This record gives sequence, C-alpha cells and structure tokens, in this order.
Amino acid sequence: MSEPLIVALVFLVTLLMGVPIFVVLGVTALVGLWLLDIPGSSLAQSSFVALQPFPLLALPLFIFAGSIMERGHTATRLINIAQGLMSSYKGSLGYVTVVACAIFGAISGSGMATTAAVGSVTIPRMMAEGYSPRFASAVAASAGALGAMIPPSNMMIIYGLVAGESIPRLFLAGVLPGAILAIGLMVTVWLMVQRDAPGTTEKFRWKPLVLAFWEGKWALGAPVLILGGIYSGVFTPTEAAGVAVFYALFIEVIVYRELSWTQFVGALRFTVLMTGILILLAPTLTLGHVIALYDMPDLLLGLMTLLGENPWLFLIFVAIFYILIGTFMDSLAQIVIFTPVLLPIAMALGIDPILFGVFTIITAEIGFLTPPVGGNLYVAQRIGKVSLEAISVAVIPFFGAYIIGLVIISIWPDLALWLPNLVYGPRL
Amino acid sequence: MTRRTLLRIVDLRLEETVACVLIVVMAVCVLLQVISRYLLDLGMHWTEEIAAYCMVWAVYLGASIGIRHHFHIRMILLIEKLPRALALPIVLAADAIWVAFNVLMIVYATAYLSLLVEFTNRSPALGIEQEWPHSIVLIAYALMTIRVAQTYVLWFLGGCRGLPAREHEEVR
Repeated sequence: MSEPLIVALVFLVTLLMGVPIFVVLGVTALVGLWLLDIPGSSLAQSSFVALQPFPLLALPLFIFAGSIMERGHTATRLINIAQGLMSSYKGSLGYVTVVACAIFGAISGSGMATTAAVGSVTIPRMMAEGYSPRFASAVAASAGALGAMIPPSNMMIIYGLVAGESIPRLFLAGVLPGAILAIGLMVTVWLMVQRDAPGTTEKFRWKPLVLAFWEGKWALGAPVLILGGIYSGVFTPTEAAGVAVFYALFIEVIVYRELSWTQFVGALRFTVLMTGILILLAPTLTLGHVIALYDMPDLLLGLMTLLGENPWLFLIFVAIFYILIGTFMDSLAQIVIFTPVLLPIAMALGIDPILFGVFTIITAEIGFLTPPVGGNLYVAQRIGKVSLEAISVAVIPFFGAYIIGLVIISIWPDLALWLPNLVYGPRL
Repeated sequence: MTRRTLLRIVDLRLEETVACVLIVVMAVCVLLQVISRYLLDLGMHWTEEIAAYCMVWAVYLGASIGIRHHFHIRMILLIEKLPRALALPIVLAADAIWVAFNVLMIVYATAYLSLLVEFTNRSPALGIEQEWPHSIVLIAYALMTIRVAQTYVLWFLGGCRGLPAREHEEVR
C-alpha cells in the first residue's frame, strides 16, 4: 500500500471512530512523520508555533467582544433600528431579522453568536406577533449564518491562515457576497410571508426611526470602528478585535450599564472554551508539510484530469462534498482539514484563492444550517423552543437562498473580487 | 474551606481561571500596542510577544477544560446511532487512541524541551528562554490525559450510562 494512502486511511478511520478532531489531525500528522522518517518531536515544536501567528489572536478577541455584546443589549438596539426602517412592510419582522443579523455580523465574526444575539430578541418578538415559532427560528438561524460571511469573520481568519492569504483582502471579498446573500434571504422571507404574514404593518414614520438611530448610535459605532479601523489602515484585524473588546465593554458597562459581573465572567468563560477548540490548528503546520511532501493535491489533481481539467466540474464537486461533509462536521474543522488539499487543486485550475475562500465560507454557512451538526439550528431551536426536526424543515427555503448565492458568485467571481482588487490592487 | 469544595474548585476552575486571566492579558496587550503606537508614538514589541504566548497557553488550557465539558469537536453522532454493544467498544478504542496520542506527545514534548534547555534560545523582544513558553505543550498533554481519565471516572461513578464521550456540545 502506498504511503499517502496509509496516511489518508489513518485519517479516515480515526475520524469515523469519533476520535476528537484535533487528535485525528495529530495522529495523522504523526503517522505521516514516521513514514517520512522525520522525528516526531518536530510535532511538539510545531504544536506551539502553529498557534502563535498574530492574526490568530483575532479569533478569541472577536469571540470575546461578540459574547459581551450578545449578553448585553447591543443587539436589541440594532434590531430597533432595523425595525424603524422596515415596519411598513408586510412581514416586517422577517426582514428586520435579516438586516439586524447583517449589521451584527459586521461586529461579530461567528454565525452562532449572530443567531444567538439577534434571535434571542427577534424570535420572541415574532412569536408575540403571531408568526409560527418554526418560521421565526428558521429566519434567525439562516440569517445568523451571515455573520460568518460579513466581515469580520472568524472562518475567513482561519481560511486566510491555512491558505496563506491576506485576511483584510478576504474580509473585503466577503462584503458584496454577504449583501447578495442578505438580499437572497429577504427575497425568501418575502416569498414566504405572501401566504401567511401575521404581524401588523404600520405607516412609515421618521420620528421613531431617528429615535432608534439615536438610541443605537453607540451600537452602530462598533462596526464603523472595527471595519473603518481595518480599512483605513489604523489597525490590523487583531488590533481591531482587541479594540472591539474594550469598545464592547465601554458601551455595555459605561453607556448602557446593562452588563453584570456574572454576565462578563460568563462571556469570558465561553471565550475560553471556544479558544480551546482552536487546538485543532496545532497539528496543521506539520500536517501541511506531510500533505506537501506526499504531493497529495497532485494525486487528487491527477484524478481530476481524468475528468477533464474543468474548474466548473471541480467547484461543483467541492460544493457537493463540502455540503455533505458539513452535515456531519463542524465548519471550522472542515476548513482546517480540506483547504490544504483542495486549494492547490483550485489554484492549478485557475481559481482565485480569495474566491475559493468565499466559496468555502458559503458552503460552511450552509453547513451551519444542516442537521445533525449545524450550530445555528441548535441555537435558534433552543430560543424558539421548536424541535430540531421542525426547524430543519423550516430552513430549507433559506437553504435555497445560499445555494443560489453560491451559484451567482461562482458565475460572476468579480462580485467577490472587485472590492478587494479595487482597494488593494490585483492580487499578485 | 472543606476538602470537597477545594477539589471542586480545582476540578472546574483551575485551568479555566488561568485561561480567563490570559485572555484578559492578551486583550490588554493588543490594546496597549495600538495605544502605544498612536498616542505615545512608540513601537512596543513586547506586547505582541506576550499576547502571542498568552494565546498559545489559553488555547491549551481551554482545550483541557473543554474535555471536562465535552466541548471538543468529534464525529460521534453516527456512532451514537449504532447499538450500544458496538458503539461502546468503538468509543473506548477512540479514547484509547486519544490517550496514546497524549502519551506520545508527552514523550516528544519532553524530548523537544530538553533540547531547548540545552541550547540558549531567547525570544527577540523580552529575552525569555524558549523552554518556558514552550513547556505548555508538555503541561497541556499531561493535563489532558488526566481530564480524559476523569471523564471515565465520572462516567463509571454515574453508573456507566450512555457513552463516555458525547458530541461537542454547543454551549453558550
């Protein structure tokens, strides 16, 4: 049996046995090192070094800032602004959820945090207005996934580190696709509320909107500070995340005075647990070497050439593969494991690595919405008190919005690449 | 304080408290870096170094306490669908692989650290000997081995109900 095959089998068997993913990666890396006659202690070294890059520090800091704002009342204020904008439309609370998730996504880097922060306000409000709990929960779950596309995005930081691509560039590439997905979700809401929209519509009035904007000015300041800071070149993404933590504390503790000590500690403890998950990045450096030394992408590329070197075929394969694997695997693990193997193939077929990043993130967002492993479903289902089965069915129309978004961005890659190329010049 | 409460604190709060402090220190260092650059017009390099060390330590300590809360990502849902007579041996084997990996990492980390001790290798900004920050790999794998053993003790004391491993819980 050839050595790359042994490595792949070790990976597959340990993965399916339910070994924790970071151990799966570690064991796979070790077996690769043994077969290549490299001392195993190099894994001990790279287990430290792989977690050290400065951009990585943005992850716990964004998670921390997001969970502070989620526990406090930043989200409520953003929702009130969206409600002021939308109250005159039929089914307005559905649109409000999407818009509020899009704005909160510009503060938080994670889909689950966005769902939790916005959903815990909008789902009860929608139910009070007579929407079905499953619809209310499904909107929050699917719109919350925008948090992973609209910058800042934790998934993009991970992708950028694994792929060796510029994180600010990836963030910018997520802006238009994020907007397209948000529009797609609103169209889906529109289609669905035609039949049964309870909810009263009000005549649009300026005064409550202006009031909501004024009330929410500090909350709106967060995305301005984070994104403005990164793109004016004032902060690196990591520094922006650090500033976001203190800005979140400032508005929740000093301006709104709504964050208790227990809530603060809760946010911190949650951050620690999420940070611990990043241990699955520790073996990635070594694993990357093993993958490269065995030319594994070349082996797969060989298979692809049998099918004709068609980037479209490849993207369709990857999309189906990622969506399928995303039903069983956490999106973070999916990106860490498969990017090093699939990205070189994508690049060999002439696909821009930044575009491939956006593509990967959209499939990951779909992964958030597919049971049995779909973080957003669990969060929204708990808030709306509906069964996992009910919400899994109710998100299917929104699922369609993401698939259409995926297709649109694959057909017109410039939708993703135009903005980063405009700001940073074409990628060399 | 009784021995029981002390044990409880060590059990649930030991790694967690240290990791919480590290996250706060990391946030402060990153903020200091921005402030020092713009307001004080100094480039401080030690903040970046401290923040990065805090990061690595927080990840490993978080990983250790994460075992206590069944927080790690593992694909266990498929196995839970199997009959128990099949699922239990698979989970036991998976955790045996985990422990074996931990022990190997302890061996490799010890070898690597003794190499670092032998040679002088100071960090650029603070001049810290590298064996100190890097020792977390050894510490963490030792802690994690204890934590895995602990989940089995708790499972056994709980009457061996269900499987000793659970799917990554989406705790909030």
